[in-house]
Amino acid sequence: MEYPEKSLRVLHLEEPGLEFGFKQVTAHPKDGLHLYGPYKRPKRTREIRLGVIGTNKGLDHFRTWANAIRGVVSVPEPGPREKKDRLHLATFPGLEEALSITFNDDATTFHSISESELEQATLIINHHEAVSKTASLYANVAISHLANDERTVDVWLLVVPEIVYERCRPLSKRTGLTLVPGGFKKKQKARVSMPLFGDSLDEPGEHVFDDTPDFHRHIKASFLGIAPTQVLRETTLAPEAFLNTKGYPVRKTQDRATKAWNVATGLYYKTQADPPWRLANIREGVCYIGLVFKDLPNDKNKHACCAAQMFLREGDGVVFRGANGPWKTNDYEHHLTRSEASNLIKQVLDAYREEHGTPKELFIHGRTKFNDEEWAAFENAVPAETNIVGVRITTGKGENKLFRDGDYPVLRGTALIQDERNALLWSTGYIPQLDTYIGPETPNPLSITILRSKANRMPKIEDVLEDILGLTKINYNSCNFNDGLPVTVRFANMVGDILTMGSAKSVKKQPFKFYV
Amino acid sequence: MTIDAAIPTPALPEPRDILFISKATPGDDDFALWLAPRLEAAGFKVFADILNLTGGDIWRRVVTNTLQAKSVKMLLCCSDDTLGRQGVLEEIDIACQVSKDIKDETFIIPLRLKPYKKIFGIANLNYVNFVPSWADGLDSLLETLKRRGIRPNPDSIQINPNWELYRKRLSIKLLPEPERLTSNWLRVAEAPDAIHYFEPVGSIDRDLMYEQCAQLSFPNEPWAHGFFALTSLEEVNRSFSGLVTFKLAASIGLDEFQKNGSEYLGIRGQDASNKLMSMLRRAWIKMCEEKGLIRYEYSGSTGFHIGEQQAGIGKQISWGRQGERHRSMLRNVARGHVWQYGVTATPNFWPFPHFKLKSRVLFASYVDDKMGDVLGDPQKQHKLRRSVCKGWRNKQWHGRLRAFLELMCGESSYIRIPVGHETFIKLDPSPVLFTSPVSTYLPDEEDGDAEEADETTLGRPDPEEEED
Repeated sequence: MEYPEKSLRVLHLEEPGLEFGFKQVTAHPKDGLHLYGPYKRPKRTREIRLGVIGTNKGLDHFRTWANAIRGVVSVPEPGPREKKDRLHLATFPGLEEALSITFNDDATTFHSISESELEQATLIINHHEAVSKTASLYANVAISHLANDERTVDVWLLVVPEIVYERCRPLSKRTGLTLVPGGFKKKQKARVSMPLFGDSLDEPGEHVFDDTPDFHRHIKASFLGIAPTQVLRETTLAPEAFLNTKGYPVRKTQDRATKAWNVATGLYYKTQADPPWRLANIREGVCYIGLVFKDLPNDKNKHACCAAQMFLREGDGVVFRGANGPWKTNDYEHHLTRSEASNLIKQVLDAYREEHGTPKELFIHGRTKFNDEEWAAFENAVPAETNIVGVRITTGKGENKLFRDGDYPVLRGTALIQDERNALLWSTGYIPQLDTYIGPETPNPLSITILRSKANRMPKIEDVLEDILGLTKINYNSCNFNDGLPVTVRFANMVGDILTMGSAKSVKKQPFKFYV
Repeated sequence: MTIDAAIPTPALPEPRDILFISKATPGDDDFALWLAPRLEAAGFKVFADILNLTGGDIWRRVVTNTLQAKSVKMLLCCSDDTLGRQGVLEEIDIACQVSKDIKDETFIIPLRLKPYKKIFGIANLNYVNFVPSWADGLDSLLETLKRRGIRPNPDSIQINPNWELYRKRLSIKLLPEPERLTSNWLRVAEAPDAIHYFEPVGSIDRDLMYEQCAQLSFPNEPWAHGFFALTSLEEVNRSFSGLVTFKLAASIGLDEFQKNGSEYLGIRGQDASNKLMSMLRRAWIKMCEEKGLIRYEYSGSTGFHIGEQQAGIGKQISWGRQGERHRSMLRNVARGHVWQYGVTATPNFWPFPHFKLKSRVLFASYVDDKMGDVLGDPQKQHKLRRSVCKGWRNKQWHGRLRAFLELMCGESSYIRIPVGHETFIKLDPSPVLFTSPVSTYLPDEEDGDAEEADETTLGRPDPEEEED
């Protein structure tokens, strides 16, 4: 049998516009902030209150760096092999100049932690215990501050030396180091199982095994009830202070201007009521939800945690925690029961209604499919006038490529329409405005599928793609032209990872900014 | 006609209401682009030479006229570099004359961007200090303007879009012209009409039959009492050497089978599709093995790579049509290892029958100018892939894929994947083309084996792995 040649429709989606100060719209956050300042810019500069925790050296690095970002931070001259005009890089005009916020050293709370104590904590023989102890050294400072100091802190900045980064991640090897004894043996990774005693015997200190040994997650989980955080590596703040034997920085970091843009944007997002920019042209009454599932570590019942991240046009994000339960149905899928699916959506709707009334459309973004039971619950949970749409968004690993006949790859915004429910969307690619492609190798598309919609009120695939492209522009944790993933999916894993931590057990609803 | 109408009305002089920014281009661009929209947002009219992107003589006249006839103040960016510019000095001369003409000694307001040496014309003027902070400088400037009676008009706030256009002046324009895009999909041009289900005549040990099936030279998939294959009954019976005789129990159209399965045989669409894809995958694997490509098991899939048999280290392979010839390498040495390009092929029937070719790169040791063993450690393979290939771009990956396909099909018009003795799946070796409705100017200057020179464009690791 011969198969005829076939082709598919290709679209190009316009770059979504972002709204900044003075109601001005532009596509690039750096342009928008430089020219107009943040959306909902305050009339007067707002002073933010920082709490900084680090070793004495770390605090010094922070002070130097903080002083620098209060002025202009220029892009370094291009190297001999680099393009003359690097449009993806931009001079940072200063924290107050770009974002209308500032801080001063007198109002900043500095807390020093002992370098040797930190060193000893990272060397504790049991990795869970080591990471927990290290994170506690930082968290306890903030907890103590909260209890004893009347000065409010808007955001905690945790300056970490490389030993913390190297030794306090899940797969840190710590080979060649002289480890020190602690309360547990080296290989213990879970609470001691004593079936005779059931849950009645709680070994002291065993809570460390309820958490994944990851400093970053520990910090985010520990601070959920305190304030948003920003973890800063000393090598990020002062790469020139950490040189190898040949005199080069031990770690390649971004240029100083880019780092200033990213951290400053994060600081604004984490300290202000409104984000620094918002999407300019998103349909009214639309709400996006990212569904998150994560298996609870060492849970004897093999339960998983579920959560919903809600995002609106304004960029506000809120994380709602659902119940823990037997949601994992196979190696790759999680599904909620009818009642839990209904509860989770109701929480989201209630929060949406408080500010915006009834949504017209509610999109659920996730990486997996929905089963009939949970979908029926989702549909029943929303009012008649609200359409609910399930969209699966997955990332490719090289299965689908499009090449151009020249040096640069396919344009960001290119969409290959496979049918009325399925498309491939290049959310990364060549950006004409920047005259480059940012990323390694060649871009991979997102694979988008409209799985279900209420009573078959199927949205147009073009609208779904436009929305997703828009959601790649509201990752306020940096100041990039775009992210490769929509914000509904980008942080799903991380939010799940934090919620499964023992120290995050009691959290129900919290702004998204606490998680990133 | 009334008497009033008979008297010609004298032309009113244009109001002087513009704040003229005198600056060095491009040295003061960032500052001017920060200051100008903020002054406009406060209700002032602002002008700077960068509002017109093209420049030229006519534009110089506009600049001069604006300064001479329409400006209420000149905001002079001051640093030694700026004050050394000929254009700025000329504007200072004109401004000094305007200052006399309109009897405004403070017509020029110096904005101190960096410490500067005093020059003729502005030596005695008080500056507004922007050195400690632009934001503080702006506050002082607004205060200075207020003190000097320059009132904003908050009822007609207009932010000139040209500030943004200037900032984007080096951007590449999107053109409403179609552009060819080449995919990594190979169209199935021809396939057997039907998939056949063979059942043994008489009783047979099923496990033994399944074992035998695994040894057959053509792809097949056991199911219930028999198996599926794409070849003929004769070949099936020949393959079992007369030990067992099979009969053709059912033939189902290929498209129908992969979509809906077979009710008669009790196989659902998804299972049928999986079985068909598995057969096609194995047919591809067998073909690649017969061509002598290097096999490597990746997590969950098999890759085939160009080896010494197909191309020497550093050899460039020609590909492309006449008049459009290109050359790309499929094997070379980098970071003390030999890399070898290859692909993993995945058959698909949706949205039309095709094979997707995922590019792979396999690393082997390099000793005494010769290739050694393929590295067995997947983590080391991954690490080398991340470092050696991250600078390969559109042209390099595209070229290597096309060169690989050139070697795969040789002189033939198709890549023929045997699924039986005389039965083939034929793939069109030219990747499926799509057409984008837009394009841009696209340089085509890089070498087919070059690497990205600007590391700042290579992005960062996934943010989830990074700090935040």
